[in-house]
Amino acid sequence: MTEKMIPHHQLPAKAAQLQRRRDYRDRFARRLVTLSGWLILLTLTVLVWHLVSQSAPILVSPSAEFRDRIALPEGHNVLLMGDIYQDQATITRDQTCKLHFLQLDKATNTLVSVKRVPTLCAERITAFRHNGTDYLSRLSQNGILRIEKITLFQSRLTNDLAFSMAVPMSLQQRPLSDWNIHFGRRNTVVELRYDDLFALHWLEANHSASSDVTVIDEAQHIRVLLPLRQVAVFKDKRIVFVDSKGTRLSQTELSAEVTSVSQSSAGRSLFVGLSDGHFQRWSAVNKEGVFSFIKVWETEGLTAQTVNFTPGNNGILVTNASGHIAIVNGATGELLSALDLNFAPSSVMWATENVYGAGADFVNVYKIRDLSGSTTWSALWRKVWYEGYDTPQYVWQTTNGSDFQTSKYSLVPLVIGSIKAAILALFVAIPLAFGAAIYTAYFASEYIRNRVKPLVEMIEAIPSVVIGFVAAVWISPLAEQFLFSLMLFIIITPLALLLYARWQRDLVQRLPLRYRKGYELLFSGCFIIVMALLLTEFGVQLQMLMQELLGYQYWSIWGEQGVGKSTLVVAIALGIAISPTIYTLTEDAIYGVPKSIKLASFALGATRLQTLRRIVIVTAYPGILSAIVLGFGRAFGETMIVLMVTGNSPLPDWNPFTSLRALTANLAIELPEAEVGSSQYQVLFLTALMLFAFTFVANTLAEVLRRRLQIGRDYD
Amino acid sequence: MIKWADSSAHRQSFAISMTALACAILLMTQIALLMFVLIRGSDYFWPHTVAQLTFKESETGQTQTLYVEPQVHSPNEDKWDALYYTSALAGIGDSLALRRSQIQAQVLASDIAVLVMHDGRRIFARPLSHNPSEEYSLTLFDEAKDKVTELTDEVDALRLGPLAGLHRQLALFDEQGVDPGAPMRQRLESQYHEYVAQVDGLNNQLSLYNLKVMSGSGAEYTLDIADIDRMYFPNRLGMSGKIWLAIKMFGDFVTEPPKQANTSGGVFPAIFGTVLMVMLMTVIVTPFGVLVAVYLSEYAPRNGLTSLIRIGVSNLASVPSVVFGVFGLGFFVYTIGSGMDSLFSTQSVSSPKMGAPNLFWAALTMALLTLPVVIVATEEGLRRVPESLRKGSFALGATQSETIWHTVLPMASPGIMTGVILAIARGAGEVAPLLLVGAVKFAPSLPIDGEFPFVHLDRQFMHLGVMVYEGAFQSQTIGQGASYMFASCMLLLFIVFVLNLLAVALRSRLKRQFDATL
Repeated sequence: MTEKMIPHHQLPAKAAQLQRRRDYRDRFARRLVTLSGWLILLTLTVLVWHLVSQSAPILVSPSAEFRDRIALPEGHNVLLMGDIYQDQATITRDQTCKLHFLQLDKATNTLVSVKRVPTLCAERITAFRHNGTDYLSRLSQNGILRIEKITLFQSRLTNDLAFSMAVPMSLQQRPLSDWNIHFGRRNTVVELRYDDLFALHWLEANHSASSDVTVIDEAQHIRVLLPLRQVAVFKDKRIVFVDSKGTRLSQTELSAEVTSVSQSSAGRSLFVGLSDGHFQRWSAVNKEGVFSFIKVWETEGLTAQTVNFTPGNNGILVTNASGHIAIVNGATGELLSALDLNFAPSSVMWATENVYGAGADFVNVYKIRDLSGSTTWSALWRKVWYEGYDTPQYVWQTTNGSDFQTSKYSLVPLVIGSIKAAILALFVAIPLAFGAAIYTAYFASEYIRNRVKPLVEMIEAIPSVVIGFVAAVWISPLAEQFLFSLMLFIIITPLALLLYARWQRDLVQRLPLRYRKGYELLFSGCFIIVMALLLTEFGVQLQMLMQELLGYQYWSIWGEQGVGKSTLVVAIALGIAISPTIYTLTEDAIYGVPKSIKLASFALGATRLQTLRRIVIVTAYPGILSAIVLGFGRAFGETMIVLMVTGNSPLPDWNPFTSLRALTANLAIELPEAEVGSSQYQVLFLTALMLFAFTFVANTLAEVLRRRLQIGRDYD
Repeated sequence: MIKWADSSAHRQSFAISMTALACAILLMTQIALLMFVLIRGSDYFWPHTVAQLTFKESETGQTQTLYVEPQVHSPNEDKWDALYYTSALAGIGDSLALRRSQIQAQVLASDIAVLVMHDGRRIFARPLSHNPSEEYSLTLFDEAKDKVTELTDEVDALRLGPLAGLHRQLALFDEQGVDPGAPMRQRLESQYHEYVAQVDGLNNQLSLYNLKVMSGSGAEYTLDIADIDRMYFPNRLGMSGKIWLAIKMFGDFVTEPPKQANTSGGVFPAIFGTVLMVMLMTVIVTPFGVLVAVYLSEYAPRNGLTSLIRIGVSNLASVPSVVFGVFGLGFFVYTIGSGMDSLFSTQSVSSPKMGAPNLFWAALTMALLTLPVVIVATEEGLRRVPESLRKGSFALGATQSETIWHTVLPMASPGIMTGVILAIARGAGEVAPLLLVGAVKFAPSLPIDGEFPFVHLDRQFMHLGVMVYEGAFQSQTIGQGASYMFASCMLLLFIVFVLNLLAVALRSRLKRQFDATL
């Protein structure tokens, strides 16, 4: 369009200069505008890319890969591995019976001793970790067991005696072979092993002298289930559960010999490895006050030797005797990833991103990528049997009492919540918006339409936070009363209108001509005011009367559940908020029905009502559907109202009278607190992406429907 | 169906009435909502009468007297709600629910005063005497109040002027390690002490001015007049007096900061934050939105990519607002902001500046949210400019940019304005994304102040909508807290509605203008 009308050389010099400047400006403007066009494309791309990239790790399975090899001083026997990269000390004992506390020397990539403590070779020493604190347990030759809490801070070692006790070095002619300490909230248990004989000393929390001793004979493994005060005894192909007195509670047959047993940090689940390659999770289930263990899941092909956990994550690390490691989702039992280490580690430690495996004179470090991917697709969408639950359930629970509990990310309750809120809103919005649209687009005169339509559309301008606030402050406290009045209103109104319809003609004919336009609206307004006044005045008395007449039980159906208070409030508040969307689009669709069709219908003798039902609505049908789809989309994406008036408890329940938490409200509640890059953060981004994608689907669907409307119009 | 309603005429009347009813319900709900907010909101400013109430306590059976403000909205006839302020110590009012039978006497005594304190407390009391032991009188109180204002101004002048300067200088000396015995330092210190003594003297004078009051239960308190913001006698006020006072209270409401944990005082920081955020947003969104619209309708080739952009933009308009908040937090704050922090930060700066939710990212997020509004409205405006005008401009030798700049854009300007105003209205009323990217319940300082560099875009800010949301969550559903929140709602509604009406007016002007040209 910028054709140069006059060739440059024909212009005087000054004019040519001016022309050049104009051309330059024009080119500059073109580039600037085009740039902004590209920029909007970039913005859209970045928006989608960011949502996808932030939520993608949750969908990727974690993987382990070799990261580094750290040298370990020769002849050191690893008692307890530390998180080496976090400068946590690794405790070893060398051939001269010295205890060493090793830390990483980054220059040589070697573990060097920062502290050494000489000990007697006759003393037997083990180390263990509980709640992030390291403990040494030392057994002297004459049977004194000392438990020491150790802290290493800037190469200064402090060891505080936790407790000490005298233990018999042999029992029924069997020598003491091994021992374990279990700290619980009420009890500390000292587990002593004499070959196939186990003696459990139940100490009080203050470690005062042993009160109860349980002796268990002929067992291969035992596990103390402290929170339940039970002991799982493994012998042959059986698990026997006994209580702290040694009384047998229940027993279960297993398919093969037990190779390893581990306990979850919360202490209510057992991970059992069998010699035939089965790996199983058993969890405590509360049945009328009695805890019994049930097999939750089982995987094949894993002969577990040791099992490791990492705080705050669902994944568990299974190592077998030949040096295969596998990451398994502890909640669902899915195998997530596996790696062959090429050596059998003597000790394994898992600290979030790093897995340390100790060999003879080295420690191999393996990096775990995409650990948050241990929350699998099926954990997001299927029922999962979490520890502490009696059945598989959909649970959304991201805030935990401690690091040792796992977060539960089932999206089902949130999706149900969103859909429930949107459907409830449609129940209110569709009749209102649809009725109003028919009225203004079909029945009312042009005069009324031009005035009423912008007024109804003004509802869209009310900030949703204001609607939410008014609903929370005004409607919520009055909901019980409100519900009754509303029911009465819904019952009485059609009856009253039926009565009114009988005499409407005679009535209108008496009205002066100038008032006949829009009298219905005026009449309806008056009717609502009168009804509202009557219902607020006599509503309570009427309710009492009804209660007396029909009996209390009849009313308590809703009364018990707080009348589904939030349900009603959500339906009303959200319904009002989305009705202008539905109204405007429906109105446009109905109004857009060509006049010729309507007139043809009238000419054939159809009444206005017949024309409406058979012609207008049928023609406008795709438009109306698209309006409902968009209204649903708006309700689905609305945040403030659902956030303010629902109870925000995520229940996987379609019952409209229970509380709900919507996807949008969940984002507003949890995202500000979520740690960047954590599983929670990624799951939340996934929900944002879902909302985004849902909008596109709803919009496209509505657009397709509208196109059909357009095509339908083209025919006449 | 019943026989007498069987004729088609009756059915039609019925249908018309039903649809009209639906329409009326929508309209009435809107009106009821607005009226409710208006009434409850203006209730915050309206000086209510205060009664001296004598009643029997339900538990002990003792007779008690209190000054109370009867609540207007009590749902139950037999119950009687009232708001009362027990003592000078009570920050916010308490609510009292009594049965009618418990009430023994209720007197609207004309000498009960409402004392509005500077810290937001309100006290119902009867003024007794001034210090030193003068009988209370209104003129004397006014005189004392004037004197006190004078004195406080003096103190403030000293504090903010010479004292602050001296303090800064001394702090600088400390930093530089100047010897405490240095003569310059000693001179400054002596000056400093001199001023402190002056301030102390003034404060002593101030403390002489106090007011002895008696609460409803007969307890006596002494209040510093310097602490009293306003005193009025609600039962003596006529209608005009009440209106005047309500206007003054409204003035205070829009100019003062919130007090007593967002239950009394004003909303100035929230208005300021809202307006500033919206202004920033407008500055970002307008040029960008208009340029994109110009590109789409004037420059873009008619191909798949352009229609892809169009579809993207129109879909963007209906993406749930909270998703923009998520994007703003994840991309602007945590990705770009943190990146900027690590790029510019020196070792001394440890706290995140741009890597935390703040005003700038909030404005940018809202700009993204409102971008489709501006683009769509501008495009509509551009489409309405007749092709013949463009052709005419080209025929006169204008380049494309000149045509757009001098002919098309001026004609489309009402459309652009409509878009911008609708964007502003949307931006002012939208809360969900702000919960994620920077608005807070209480911000200690305004984003603009006297400190260098004066405009602090890296600060968090207060927002009217966020305040209302927080108010609902703190279940401030009774008493003064609720009134305060309703007043905030009213203000928010007012702002949004004025903007929307402006947009509607502009749009109809645009239509008329084109009807005239075509």
